[in-house]
Amino acid sequence: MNHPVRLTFNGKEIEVEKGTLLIEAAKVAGAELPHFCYHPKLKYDANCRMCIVEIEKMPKLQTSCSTVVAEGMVVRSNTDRVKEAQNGVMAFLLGNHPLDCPECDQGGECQLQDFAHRYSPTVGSFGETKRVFEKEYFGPLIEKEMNRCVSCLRCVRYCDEVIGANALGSMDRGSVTEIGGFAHHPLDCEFCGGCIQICPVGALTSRASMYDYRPWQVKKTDTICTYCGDGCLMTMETIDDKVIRTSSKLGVGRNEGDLCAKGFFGYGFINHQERLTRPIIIQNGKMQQVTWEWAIKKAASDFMAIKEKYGPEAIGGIIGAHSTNEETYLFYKLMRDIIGTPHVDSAARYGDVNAHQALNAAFSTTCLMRYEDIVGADLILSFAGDMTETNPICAIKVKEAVRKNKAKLIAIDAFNTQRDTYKSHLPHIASLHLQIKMGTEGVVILGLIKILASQATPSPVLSADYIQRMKQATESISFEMIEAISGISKATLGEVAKRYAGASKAVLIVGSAITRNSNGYQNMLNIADLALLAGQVAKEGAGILALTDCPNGGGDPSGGSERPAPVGRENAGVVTRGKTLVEIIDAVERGEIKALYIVGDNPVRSLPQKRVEAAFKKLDLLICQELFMTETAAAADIVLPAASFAEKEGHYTSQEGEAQKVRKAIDPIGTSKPDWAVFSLIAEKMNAPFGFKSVNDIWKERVLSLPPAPTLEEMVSHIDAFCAAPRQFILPFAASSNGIKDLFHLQVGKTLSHAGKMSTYADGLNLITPNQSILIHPDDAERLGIVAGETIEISFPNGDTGSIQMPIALSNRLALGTLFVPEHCSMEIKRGLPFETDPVTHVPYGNYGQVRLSKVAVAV
Amino acid sequence: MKSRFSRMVDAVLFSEILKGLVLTFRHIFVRSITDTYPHQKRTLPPGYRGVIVHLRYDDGTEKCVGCALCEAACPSHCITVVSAEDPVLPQRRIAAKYTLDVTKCVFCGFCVQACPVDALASSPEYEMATWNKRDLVMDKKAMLQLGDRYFPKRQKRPPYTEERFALFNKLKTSTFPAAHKIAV
Repeated sequence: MNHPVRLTFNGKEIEVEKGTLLIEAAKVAGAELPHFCYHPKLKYDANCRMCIVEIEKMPKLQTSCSTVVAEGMVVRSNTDRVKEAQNGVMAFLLGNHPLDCPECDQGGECQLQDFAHRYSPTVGSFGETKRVFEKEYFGPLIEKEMNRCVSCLRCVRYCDEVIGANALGSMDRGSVTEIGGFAHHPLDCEFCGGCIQICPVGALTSRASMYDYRPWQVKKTDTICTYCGDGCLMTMETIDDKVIRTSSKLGVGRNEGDLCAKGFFGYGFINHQERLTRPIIIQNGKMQQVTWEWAIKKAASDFMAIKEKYGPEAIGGIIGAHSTNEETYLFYKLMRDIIGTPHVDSAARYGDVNAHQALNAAFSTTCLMRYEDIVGADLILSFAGDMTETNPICAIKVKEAVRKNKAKLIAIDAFNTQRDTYKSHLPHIASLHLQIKMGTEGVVILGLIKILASQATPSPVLSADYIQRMKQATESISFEMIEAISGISKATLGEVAKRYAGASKAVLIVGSAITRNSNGYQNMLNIADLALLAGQVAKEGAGILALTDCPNGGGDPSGGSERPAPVGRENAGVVTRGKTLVEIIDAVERGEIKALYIVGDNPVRSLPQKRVEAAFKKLDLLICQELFMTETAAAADIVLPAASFAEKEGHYTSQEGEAQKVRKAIDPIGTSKPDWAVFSLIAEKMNAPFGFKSVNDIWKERVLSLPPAPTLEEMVSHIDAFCAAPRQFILPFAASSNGIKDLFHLQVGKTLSHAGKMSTYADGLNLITPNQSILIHPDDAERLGIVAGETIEISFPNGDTGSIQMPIALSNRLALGTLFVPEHCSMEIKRGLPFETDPVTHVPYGNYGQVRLSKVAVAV
Repeated sequence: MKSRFSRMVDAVLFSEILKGLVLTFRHIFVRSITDTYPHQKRTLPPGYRGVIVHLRYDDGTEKCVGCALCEAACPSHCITVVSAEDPVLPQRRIAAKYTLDVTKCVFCGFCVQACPVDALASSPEYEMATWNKRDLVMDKKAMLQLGDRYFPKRQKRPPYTEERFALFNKLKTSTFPAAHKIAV
């Protein structure tokens, strides 16, 4: 305690930090103060008048949630005067409350219920008719029952202060005060469910779990959300192997109790009726359910047969993004040590590898900062305009920094800079927003490097030699070229560079716009240079954070293929560097790889569909381990049902590098098994059992097998070595329009409520974003003469892939001339988009392209 | 100790049996103190706690709102409630599934006391003998039937509830077409 303040609370001497609110001091004294409007996350409002206390020398009762402690204060909360006042407040609150606790979902965890038992008169004196509001709905998932409301405005303040969506407000006054969107407009918000969680009564409830549970019936398990790399801790509430709802605890976990739409409403896929429950053998297009013994025996014997016939290197393996650290480790062990192939890769190859390898190359670590640094930073440079959609909790941290700590946000992305976008969209709150042309982030980075290199002065961290080399390397790049390609002038770039280098603590956040798009690895290396030149890395409170959408984004950084050779074969002269994801598919196409084991990944959807499907036809054996019958699983010979993250134990490593425990909330659906158990069974059948009894054993072995973390000296020498390496900057291929008019830039990415295919199995999320449609700016739609919901034809200027028809939806978020296709409905589109792989990391890039739009002629 | 001769006489003449028969025949003339159940049935005292039943309001709608407080109160864990939205009256909470395992029930009546809407009652029914033990796991339909039999006098539906439901029904048709609960 820096400045202790002594006070007496209910006769008890306590000592608290200066500036503490009385309601918090009461907790130290062990006294409970009833309250509705106060919440530690929010600024005090003192509107419910429930937390009143008597303070000596103050004539009137004071609200403890808005009174700061003072030296020598004598406070009492147990006097008759306080009790009488609390009874009065409670009588007013209950006067209009419908007392429908038996049918209210909040019943059992309701603050009004709890406090009514202790702080209310036994008989109400309110004899008039109670007010009756109509039941309303905030969108399809949030139910508003205003009769139960106590007008504490917690939901309104949470929406304003934490989420920043400003979607809610209070309307009218007195006893008819009502919470709602402005002028009864439908809510335009993130559907984070925060208002439901923060409501002390049952005024706002979730329709997704309505009437399904009673708070005392549910079993609560703390686990990690699997929808993105933020690593949010959430509580899974289950009844008899059914996930009823998810919730979060205040101030716990990396998310500190905040959840997003996917976390709060996206649990539906776990108990979905289409989940695979039995192993399936597919022969000649006919599916047949078999027993586990049979399926494992067949898988093992087929692997053995192929290994014998073509050698171990004719077998490849791909593991998906939702497997835990233990499972990924065990998969590599199975493929490398037992089957003996180096050709294994993970879904980190879809983009995260870029960030990991580049940051490792530069700094020998990827854990350069934590979320606390975002909150504490005074400048945030963001290359992730869609952070609110892809990594909502990380975006909440940015918003917290901007709103509470007055940090400056510089957002560089291809999204709309206009102020008519929805409020929690990051460009909206940015103090400086650079609306670049889609896909030109790399050019802007080079421009910033050029400016910083010309301004940098040599220091112990930056050698004169390094600065000189950077200057030389950027000499050939002119600002005119940069402006022509990206649309950003030298003056603007200079302003950004000045602010970034001049900030005392600046963080740099990189999103999928860089890691998943063309030239990603080089751009990430340039990001490292940018941060080094600005002196905003390897410094307290500054750093680089690469966002990922894999829950285990930090767990398998290098992908499978860069790992050492199989055990015992280090010196046998075999190929040690295995093939990467796209190379594996290529090898399948060429007929080099005869058997493929795919765990929880769907290359048919993620890579160009036709090519992958044709390749899979050439395989002798395709084993797919999946939750659902995906496109890849449908092409497989053996489909093994896997358990979802709610049904297994393990660890996920978030994008921050935080390994967090995933706990088992329910038993596996049907006969499905966790991935590690399946690997163990296969190994056993191949006469090389692992001997792991539980996940903990695997975790121990994995942790012990990790290389030691680099020491500080090693890091410094690594950075020096990185700085000493020669540099050559080439302007990335300019996204020109090829002279054809009316070309739209199209980007495939995540939306707020959907992440890939899995989320489409969650009906709650489907209700938020009901149809699969392509997003377009309203002005563009007007120019083309199309309205929302209308189907348009998308054709590709190069290539003969034909055209695709899709309905459109309007979004102010997008810039003019750009289109956005949500990942979950992008399979068709990806067929026509240009596809390339990174020269260094072999990351597949196929999410960006230029397309032509035309109206669909309707036959009358 | 009787002499050997008299014991032989007793054995020959079955005197002990005769003694017993005398006692038996004497009871023919004594007033009986037991009921000849099933022909004769006792009048049950008020507040007798027999099988738990469900009640209805005077308009025939069931009282139960599916709050599961009875389940929470039950000491022998014989009640299972699965609540859901009423398909006929959306927004109304009902027990979609309500089972009471009479084989486990200890007839304590805690559930009756716990019920906030007085939907449960202890009926005078105690004749639950059956050939099939599964019949003793009663669902809501069976419990409502028993309730109808033993509690013909029904409570009037409180006006407030009615009003609200009327409002919801209006709402259902006018403003929110998809009022039915979504399946997650």
